[in-house]
Amino acid sequence: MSDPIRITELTKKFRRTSVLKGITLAVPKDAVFALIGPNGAGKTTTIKILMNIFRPNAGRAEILGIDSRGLAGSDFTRIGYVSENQDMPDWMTVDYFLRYLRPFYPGWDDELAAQLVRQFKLPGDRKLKHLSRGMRMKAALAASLAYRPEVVVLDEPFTGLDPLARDEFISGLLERSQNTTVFISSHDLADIETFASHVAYLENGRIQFSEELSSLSDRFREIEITFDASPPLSADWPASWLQPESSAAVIRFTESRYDSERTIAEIRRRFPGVRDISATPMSLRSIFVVVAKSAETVAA
Amino acid sequence: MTQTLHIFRKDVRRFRYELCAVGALTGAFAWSHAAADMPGLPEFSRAVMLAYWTTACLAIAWWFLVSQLIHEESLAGNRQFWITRPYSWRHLLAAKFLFVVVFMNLPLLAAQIAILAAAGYQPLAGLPGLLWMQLAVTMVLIAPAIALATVTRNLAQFVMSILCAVLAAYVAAAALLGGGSGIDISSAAWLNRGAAVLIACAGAVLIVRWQYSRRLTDASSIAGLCTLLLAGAFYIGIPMQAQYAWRSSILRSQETSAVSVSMAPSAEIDHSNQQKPLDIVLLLPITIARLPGSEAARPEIISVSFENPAGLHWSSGWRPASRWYPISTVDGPKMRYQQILALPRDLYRRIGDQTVTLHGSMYLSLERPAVVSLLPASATGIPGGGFCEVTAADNEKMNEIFCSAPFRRPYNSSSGGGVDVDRGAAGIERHNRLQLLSLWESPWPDFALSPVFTERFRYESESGIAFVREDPRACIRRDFAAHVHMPAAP
Repeated sequence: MSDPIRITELTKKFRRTSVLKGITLAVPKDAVFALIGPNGAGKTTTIKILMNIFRPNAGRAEILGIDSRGLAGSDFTRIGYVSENQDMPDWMTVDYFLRYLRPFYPGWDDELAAQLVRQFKLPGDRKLKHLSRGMRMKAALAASLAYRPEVVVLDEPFTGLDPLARDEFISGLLERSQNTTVFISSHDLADIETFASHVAYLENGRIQFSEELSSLSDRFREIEITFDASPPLSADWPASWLQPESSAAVIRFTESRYDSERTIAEIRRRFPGVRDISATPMSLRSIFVVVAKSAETVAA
Repeated sequence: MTQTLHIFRKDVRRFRYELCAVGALTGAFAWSHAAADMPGLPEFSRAVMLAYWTTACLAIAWWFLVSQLIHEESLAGNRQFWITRPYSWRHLLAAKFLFVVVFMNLPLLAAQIAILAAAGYQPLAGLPGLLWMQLAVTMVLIAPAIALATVTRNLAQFVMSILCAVLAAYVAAAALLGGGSGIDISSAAWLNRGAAVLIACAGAVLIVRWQYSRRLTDASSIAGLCTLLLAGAFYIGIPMQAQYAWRSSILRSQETSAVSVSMAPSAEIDHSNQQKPLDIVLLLPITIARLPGSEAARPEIISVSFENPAGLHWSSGWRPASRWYPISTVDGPKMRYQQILALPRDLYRRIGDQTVTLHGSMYLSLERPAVVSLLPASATGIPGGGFCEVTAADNEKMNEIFCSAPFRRPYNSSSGGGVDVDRGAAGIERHNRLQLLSLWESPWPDFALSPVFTERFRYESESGIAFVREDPRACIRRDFAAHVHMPAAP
C-alpha cells in the first residue's frame, strides 16, 4: 500500500513570508512519524495544509491518497486530528461531546470510547471549558481515536501538559493506535524519542532530514578526540562534522554520518597524533540542538 | 438529513435559553402590536411605544441569535474543531436554515396571524401577504446577518462590523446630502430600495454559499464589502435622471406634445431663506404652458446650468424640483412656480448683476387628482383594504382619524394639504387631503415585522377627509433656455 501521507514540493507563503519552501516527505503506513523543528519552522502550517485548513501556494499534500485541497466531509471519518490550539465546543460536557460526535462516524466504537474515557480518567459530566488543558487534550484524543481512524495527526499535543498527563496521553495514543499511522509535530523531543519510529527535522521551511529514528540515532555520534598535546585544527573540516569545539588537548564535534570504521579511520587520517577517540550515542534532543545550531551557523 | 437534524438538535440544546428569550420577545411583540393597533390611543401612548420597542428588540435579538448560531460552527478562522470532523457543509447549512425557519420565521408568522386577527382581519385571506412578509424579513434582516456572521469569528467582530457599516453609511449619506444630491423619497423609491435589497440578498447568498462550501473568508469579506457598496449605491438612488427617463418611457401621451417649459428673463434672490448662510438662494420663475385639459403639472426633477459672458460655467446637476414653495398658480392651461436654487456665494459674486445664459431640463408629471373617498360621510372602509374610524379628540374642535390596513400603509402619511369638493347647491367643501398609494408605489406589501399598519391624523372637525389618488397620466422631459438677468449680490 502507498504511504498514507505524502508531501511533495509543498510551498506556502503568508503574504510575502515564505513559511514552507518546497518540502517533501512521506509517512509510511503504521509509522509513528514525528515532525520536529524550532518555533516558526512551519510544522503547524504543514499540518494545517494536510488537513485542508490552509491551502498551499504550490506543491501537493496527500493524505490517504486524497489531495488535501479536496479533503472534506466523509474523508474525516478516516482521519483523526488533535491540535494544541484547537477551539473546542466548550459548552459541551465530555459525555455529550462524545455522544454528539458518534453519529458522524460509521466506525465509532462505543466500547472503545468508554475505555478511553476510563483510561484518561475523564469526568463525563464536566463541561470542556472546565477541564484542565491536559484533560481537554485527552478528551480531544479520545474523540479522535474512538472511531479507529487510519491516520491520526497531532499538532503539538504535549504543549503545556504536565509529565503525568503526557505519559497518559502517549500511552493512550500508542495502545489505541495499532494499525494506525500517527503523524505528530512536537517540541518534546524526549517524549518523541520514546515512541516515534520516524522523524523529520523541519527548519526555516525546509526539511533537513527525514528518516527512521533508529537510523538517525545510528548516524549521529558525539565524538571526543583526546591528544597528548594541543591538537592541530584542520582547515578543510568535513561537512558531516558539526559544531566542532577544541580545548587544551581535546576536540569535540558531532558526526552526522557516523560509521564506526570509516569515521575512526578518517579521524586517524586527519589527526595522526590522536591518543583516544570516543563516540557517544546522542539523544534526539542533542541531535536536534546540534542540527539547529549548525543551521544557525551556516545562516550567519 | 440525519446529520442536519443531529446538528439542529445540538443547536436547540445549545441555545435553549436564548430561544426562550426570543420566544418571549416574539410573544411580547404580538401582544404589544395587538394592543397598539387600536383606535383611541394617542400617537405616543405607552402601548404604541411598547410596540415600537418590542419590534426593535426582536430584530436585535434575532441578529444576536443568528450570530451565535453561525459562530457555533464558525467559518472564519482556522482553529475550529468541526472543520476536521466529517461535517457535510450542505447538512450544516441546512441545519442552520432549519433553525432560522423554526425559531424565527414560524414564530413570527404565528405572531403576525395573531396581530391580524386581533385587528379584525382574516389571517387566511392574507396568507400570500404573510408569506411575502416572511420572505422580505428573511431577505432584509436575516440573510445579511447570516452572511456577516459567516465572515466574522465572534460576536464582538460581528457587532463591530455592524457599527463600522452604520458609521460608513452615515458618513456617505452626510457627504452626499451635503453635496446637494438628494436621496429619492418619492413614491417610486421602493424601486431603489428593492434593488438594494435584491443586491444585498444576492450578495449574502453568494457569501454564505462560498463560505460554507470553501471557507474563503478574505474573498468573501471583499465580496461582502462590494455588495454593501453596490447595495448602498442603489439604496441612495438609481440616478434620478435614469429613474425619470424610465418613467417617461412608460408613461407617454400624444396630448402632452405641446407642453412647454420656459423661464422669465429675471430671477430674484430669496432674502428670507437663511438656511444656508454660505449660499445665495435664487428664485427662478418657471412657467409650464399648454397643459392639456384641466390637468395639473407636477415638476419632479430639474437640472440648471449657467454660463456668464466671461465663460464661467456652473451646473446644478439633477435635483428634486421645488414643487409647492413658495407659490404655484394654475392659470388655465398654464402653471407658474418659482424654482429654488442655491448657489455658492463666491460663485454668485461672479455672475451677480449680469445677464447669463441659462439652460435647463426638467422632468414633470401630468395628472388629474381623483377624489376616491370622503370621510366621515362615507363608509369606514378605505380603498385598498382596511378601515378608518373618526373620533372626537379631547379638544372639541378637532377630530382624530385612525386608519388601519393590512400589509400596506392606509395612506401616504407624508401627504397633506387640502382639496375642494363641489357639493352643488350645498357649495364647496374643503377637505383634508390624504393621498392614497399611487401608480409608482410598490405592488407588494410594505416591509415591516407587523402586518397591520396604522396611521393617526388630527384635523378640524368642520372639515372632512378626502382620500385622493394621484396617478400621473404622463411623465415628460422638457429642455429650456433663457437669457436671465441675475440680481446684484447682496
